Amino acid sequence: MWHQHLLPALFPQIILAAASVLCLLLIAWKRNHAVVHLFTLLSLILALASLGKIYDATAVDGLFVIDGLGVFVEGVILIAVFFITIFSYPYFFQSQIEKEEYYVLLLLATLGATSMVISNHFVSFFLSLEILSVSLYTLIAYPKKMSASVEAGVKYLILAAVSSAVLVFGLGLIYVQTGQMSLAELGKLATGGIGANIWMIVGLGLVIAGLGFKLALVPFHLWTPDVYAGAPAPTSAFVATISKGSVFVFLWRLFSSVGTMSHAVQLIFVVIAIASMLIGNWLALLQQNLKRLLAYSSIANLGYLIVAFVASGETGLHAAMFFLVAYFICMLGAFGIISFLSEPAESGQQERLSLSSYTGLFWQKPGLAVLLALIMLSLAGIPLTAGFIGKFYVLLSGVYSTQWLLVIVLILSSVIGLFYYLRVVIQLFSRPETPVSYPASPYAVSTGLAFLVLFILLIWFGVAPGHLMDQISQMVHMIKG
Amino acid sequence: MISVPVSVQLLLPSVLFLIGLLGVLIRRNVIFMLMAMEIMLNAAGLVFIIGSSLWKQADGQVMVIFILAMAAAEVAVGLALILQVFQMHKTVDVDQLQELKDERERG
Amino acid sequence: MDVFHLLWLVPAFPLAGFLILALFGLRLHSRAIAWIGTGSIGLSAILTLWIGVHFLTQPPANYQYSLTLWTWFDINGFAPGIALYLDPLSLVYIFVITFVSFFIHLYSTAFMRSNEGYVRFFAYMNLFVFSMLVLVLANNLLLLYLGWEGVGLCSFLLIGFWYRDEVNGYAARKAFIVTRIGDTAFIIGLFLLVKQFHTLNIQDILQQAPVVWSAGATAVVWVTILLLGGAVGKSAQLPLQTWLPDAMAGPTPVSALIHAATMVTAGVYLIARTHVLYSLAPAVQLLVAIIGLLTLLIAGFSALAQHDLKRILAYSTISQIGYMFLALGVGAWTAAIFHFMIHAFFKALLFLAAGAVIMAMEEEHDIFKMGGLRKKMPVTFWTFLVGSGALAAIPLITAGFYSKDLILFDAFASTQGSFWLWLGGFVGAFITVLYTFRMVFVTFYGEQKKPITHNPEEEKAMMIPLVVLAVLSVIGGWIELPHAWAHFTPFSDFLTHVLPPTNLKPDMESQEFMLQLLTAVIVFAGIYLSWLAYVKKPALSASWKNTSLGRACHDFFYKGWMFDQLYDKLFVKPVVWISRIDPHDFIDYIYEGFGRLNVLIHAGFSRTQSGYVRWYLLCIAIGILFIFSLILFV
Repeated sequence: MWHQHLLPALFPQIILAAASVLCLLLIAWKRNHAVVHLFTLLSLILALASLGKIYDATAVDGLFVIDGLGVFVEGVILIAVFFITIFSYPYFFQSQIEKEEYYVLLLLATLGATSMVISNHFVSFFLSLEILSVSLYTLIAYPKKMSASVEAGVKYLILAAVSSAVLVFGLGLIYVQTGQMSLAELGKLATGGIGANIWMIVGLGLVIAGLGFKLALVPFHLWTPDVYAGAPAPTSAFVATISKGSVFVFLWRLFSSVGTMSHAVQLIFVVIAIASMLIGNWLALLQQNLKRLLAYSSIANLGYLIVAFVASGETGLHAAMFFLVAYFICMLGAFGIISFLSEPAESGQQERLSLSSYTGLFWQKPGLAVLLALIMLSLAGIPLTAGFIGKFYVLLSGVYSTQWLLVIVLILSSVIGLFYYLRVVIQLFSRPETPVSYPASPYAVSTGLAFLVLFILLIWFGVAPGHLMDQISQMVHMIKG
Repeated sequence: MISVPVSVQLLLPSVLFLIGLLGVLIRRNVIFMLMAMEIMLNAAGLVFIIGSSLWKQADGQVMVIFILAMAAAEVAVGLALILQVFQMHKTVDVDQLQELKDERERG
Repeated sequence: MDVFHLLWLVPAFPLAGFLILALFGLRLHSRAIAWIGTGSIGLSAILTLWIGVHFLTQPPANYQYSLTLWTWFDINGFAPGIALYLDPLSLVYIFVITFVSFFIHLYSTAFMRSNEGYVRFFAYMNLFVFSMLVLVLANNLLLLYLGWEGVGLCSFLLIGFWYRDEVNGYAARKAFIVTRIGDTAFIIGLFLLVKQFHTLNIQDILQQAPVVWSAGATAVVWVTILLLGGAVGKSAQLPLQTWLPDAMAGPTPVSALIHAATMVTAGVYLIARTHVLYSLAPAVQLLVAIIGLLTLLIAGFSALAQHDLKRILAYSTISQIGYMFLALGVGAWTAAIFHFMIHAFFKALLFLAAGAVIMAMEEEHDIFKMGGLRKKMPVTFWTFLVGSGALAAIPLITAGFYSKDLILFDAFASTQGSFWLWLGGFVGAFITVLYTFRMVFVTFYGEQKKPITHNPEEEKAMMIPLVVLAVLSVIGGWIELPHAWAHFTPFSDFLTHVLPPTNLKPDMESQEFMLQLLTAVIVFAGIYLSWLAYVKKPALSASWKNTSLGRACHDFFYKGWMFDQLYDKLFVKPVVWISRIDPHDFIDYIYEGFGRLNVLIHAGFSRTQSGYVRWYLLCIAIGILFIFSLILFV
């Protein structure tokens, strides 16, 4: 059945798909970095504008569901990609490779991510996941003359493809058992009770593993630091934020439609969350490479997010959404700063990775240093930053659902985390023996503006988070199981 | 018509899947790893075929077509990357890809 | 438009000043820094004046105004608000804070000019003023605590401002650690309050307290003792007074602002703000009075033996805050606040004048190496004299007389007062006169012992604050006349909207005149005595000091009644001793072990990040197996 009036609901996806094709044509017609960059920004704005007022529409032919949750995360993703696009320009500015296709891939990956958050069916989910993944392989290995990037690309390709296979195999088993691929139909079955068939459970387990890989949860996390470190910084930002946020939404949709979590499934997630929080923070403890440190930090942060997931319910979902936004801001800002301060990605040229190369950043670029310090404090969960509210919200959701073990581990691991976040902050403010030189970055105005916006958001959501919370609780409602 | 129980039907894709997984784990040559991944994906496709025939639906078969298409796309990108790796390192052994890892200078 | 809606701007201006200075300060010209640093406080002061006039002419309902800026967050009913609360008490405080800060900032623009870290200084100072305003305007305990810690942090940063000298760093740490002892008690007290009342709102707590707690209930005694602990730490009262004299390591404007006029009186504010609780715990309130009395005597005697100009003033501050505690302890709430205000004026004045003297003497602090500055520095001398007069409470013409006299009278005549409390305060007043005029005579009279190279009197920015504060130190007292003279008490009347009036025993007013006469006599006797000992016959004091008893007393007082040595023996030495016989402390093992354990775990997991894709794959496979086993066996 085709409902014409539902067409506007898919405008963002249509715009993104059309934009990527147009972008390719544009490149074929005339290769110009600035024009392509601006075109990408414009199409993102257009997609964002088309989100407007569609979140009361419901299902689109069983494949997609347009609800508040989906639209909210779509909006967050589009804004995040907007920032990443801005950061990409100075990063590739002086690069000798052909850089225009990067934006095409960025648009395609965004198409995959935005489709995934409104997916309501195995087919649409698989399709959007693969669009996202395949774009990511190339985004990661984009500076093809850099051995690190190519290595990261190959590693991610192998691991992600295997995990996709695991995931699809699991989905297939669920399909065999239920005869349904639509989450809505699965939800109807679940109320009647899905038998605890061994194949069904194996299927769910495989799906958890597959999604766990995409979310970089322990023990499926090992790829994270290698890929973050090898990929160009804007891509790392994409992997850290958007690909995880969109997969998380699908995870939530899947398990809330399969019904109240069975004891065993809940236990799996509890164990995974605890392991991710602790191991992520432990791994980061003495890490000297800023990108790897952020990777480990993201593992721990996804662990916190799973606490909200286990807590489930309305509070859990709202907490997760708030936490996700705070986490997005931090990761975008951190990788944005790395890409801004790095020499252009050329063969043989390393990015600015080691912590010691950030020593005394404050005395040369105080604005950037203050932002980076604030990001670290936010990740550490210091009050008056968005990260504090996010973590506190997650903590409260854990308390309300009486997940005491998770709550305790969350607090303990935060203490461990504090150590390495403060280590970075100290590094930024201490005076170096020999002043570190920073490249004179071109095109600093839009980037600087983007940093300023992130700075303001970080403080705003920390000091007066009410606006964001209202927005979330207005839009995002518990999906009917 | 003789009907085979579902569990027995599922054995075949399961075995295929395990073969693929073992292949990925054991082989060091990236090209073979890609092939093993294909086996895994196709095993997953087989599961959907089984489901499709079991529930008398076309949905599962649609999914298989998607899986095939995406597998092809993955291999295409994968081969391109392998080519690049080979140009740089003159090898397609994944264990030689050792640039990215945790430094271990501390005790 | 309702001017009270602008209340949030009062702390917002200093915060904005701090942010500008912290973010862009390194690129600003020093003149711009001075303008931003001082101007932001000036705007606050003007706004406070406007609000104050409005408050007096068109007071809000019940003389209290609450401004909720926003609710920080609201998660399932737990909703700490960011709200300001204005009543006569906080109005007096913000008035004093903004105005005195403004003049001290103005003074600092010239005083700190030749220092490196000019921006840093003004940034910290603005942050301090912001924190202090938040502390007194807070509507709830969370915000109050934020301000409380904020001022502590700024105090730490500013004492150690000249951080290159190790001694200053030590003084800063000492101040931080000693006040931290009090803060720990304070935060526990706050937790008890929140646990009992399930709200953070101070006014709600104060309203419910008499309903929930009967007088003398154990809970209220504990809470008040714990809060008193915090107050004693911040206000440098017995037994936590030892940090303040060392805190003089900071620049003089810091001493004037933080360690005389504002922060150290936060304890007084706290007790006055929670007076309902103390009224419910009379025993603790008596303890407040006793602490105040002992502190004022001990600190007074210590001041008598100091040579360092700033240390004399530091001990004097401790002693004067002792008077405020005495007043609080006998239920003379308004008298305490009155003395706080007057003290802020004259003590800031004395510190600023002392700063000018020390600047002229090229960082010489010892008063016995100064002398004869009267002619060379007339403005400084006269303003210093006015400040000293107020400190010594010279009758009629100085503001200090009106405020201190009120405390002494209430200590005698209040229902909670007694003859002994009065006598202690009375003796203290005599000592105050002695050390004050000893300081004046030694510094400004006699022979000049050191030439003046750069006379700060040429700096207008330094002299204007002195004159203004001197004027305030004179006329400030006339808004509250003694009962015996006339019933002209607008200050108390204003404050009684929030603080209960002092309950006097019957038929006391007749005796007030008597007490005043006695005070007047000892003031003039004290001035004469110190004139005799330090100007007329300097040999007299020297000969007295040379007797063995005199020397012992001098040393004892000089070292601040050996409290540092006592704490050294009681707390530091045993710890050092234990650490010496047990260098590998077993508790250390726990912490270090925890640290090492984490590092070990880190190293272990770090090994897993080996870069081998196939190992990563294996981990995924193991993870899948692990999930299956969980499903199957649980």
